[in-house]
Amino acid sequence: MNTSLDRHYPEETWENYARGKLSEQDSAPMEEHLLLCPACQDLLANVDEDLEVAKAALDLVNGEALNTAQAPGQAPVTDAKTRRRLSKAVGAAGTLR
Amino acid sequence: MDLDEKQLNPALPLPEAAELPDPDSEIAGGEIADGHGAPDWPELVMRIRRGEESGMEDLYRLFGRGIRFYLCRQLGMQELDDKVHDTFLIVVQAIRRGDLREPERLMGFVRTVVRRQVAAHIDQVVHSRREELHLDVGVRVVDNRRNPEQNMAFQQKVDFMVDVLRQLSDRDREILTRFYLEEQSQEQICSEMKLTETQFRLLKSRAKARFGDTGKRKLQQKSMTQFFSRVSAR
Repeated sequence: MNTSLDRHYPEETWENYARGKLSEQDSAPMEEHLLLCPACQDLLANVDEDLEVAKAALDLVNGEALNTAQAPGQAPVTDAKTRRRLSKAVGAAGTLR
Repeated sequence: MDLDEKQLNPALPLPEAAELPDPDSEIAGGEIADGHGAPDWPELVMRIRRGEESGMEDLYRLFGRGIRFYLCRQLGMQELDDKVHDTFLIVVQAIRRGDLREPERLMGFVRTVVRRQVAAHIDQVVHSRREELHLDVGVRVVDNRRNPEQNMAFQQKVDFMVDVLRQLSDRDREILTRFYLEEQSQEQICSEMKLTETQFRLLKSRAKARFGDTGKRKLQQKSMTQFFSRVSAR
């Protein structure tokens, strides 16, 4: 793990940090570096936005797929959590086609 | 304002943010971000303890942007200046009291203070929301981080991404769904979907590249449409 200040962390590491996938032991030196490094602040800001965009877009697209797959006359699923759960099933069914 | 007098007395408030130096400006210690090594932390701590104005300035220049970024990321833009100011106040007062026993650990110390500030603020918000909920059932969480223009730009990016996702196969979309929505780890996805790490990385980077291309094409189309509508309006 990078402990020096003069080495930046790669995008993938910041992505794991933003997704909360790192231990306190791993994220502590990253946060210390972050407090002092404008380049990594910019990188993390981009990663945060990419994650938000991807989540919002996947929610929409999976919702469309789900509503297309449902029985005619059935009310569309609008609740994001339900859509996520069901979209997993639709995605899995898609791979069997 | 007489900075020297105020800095010698920890009970007095810190200077206002507007009176402090620009954290983006060039200073000796600021080179840290460009990869030329760390500042001399014990020396900086000593200057702050002695109440030297240069110590305060360097501390702000080094950490100002980072603390602002961290607090903004966690808590949003609301009252951000006050929160940054409070954080500096706590750090400086603690240094002057001698709470920082290992000056070379200044970075870790600042991080701890910032994290405690975030936790305290979240506690406060949770508490006040609970109180409010007793009074108003319709309370909702408002995202204060973006202004209307930024919201529009964000929505545009989502639209581009939707276009890209529609072009992907069901399997590729499932991989991205597992990663971004289900928050599964790369290892879990690779093992359950029989993918190698390289295949997984390739899919992600392909989707990002397509997203970039579609975005650029759309922006070009948009600017052409705007150009033609301006020309035809003449």
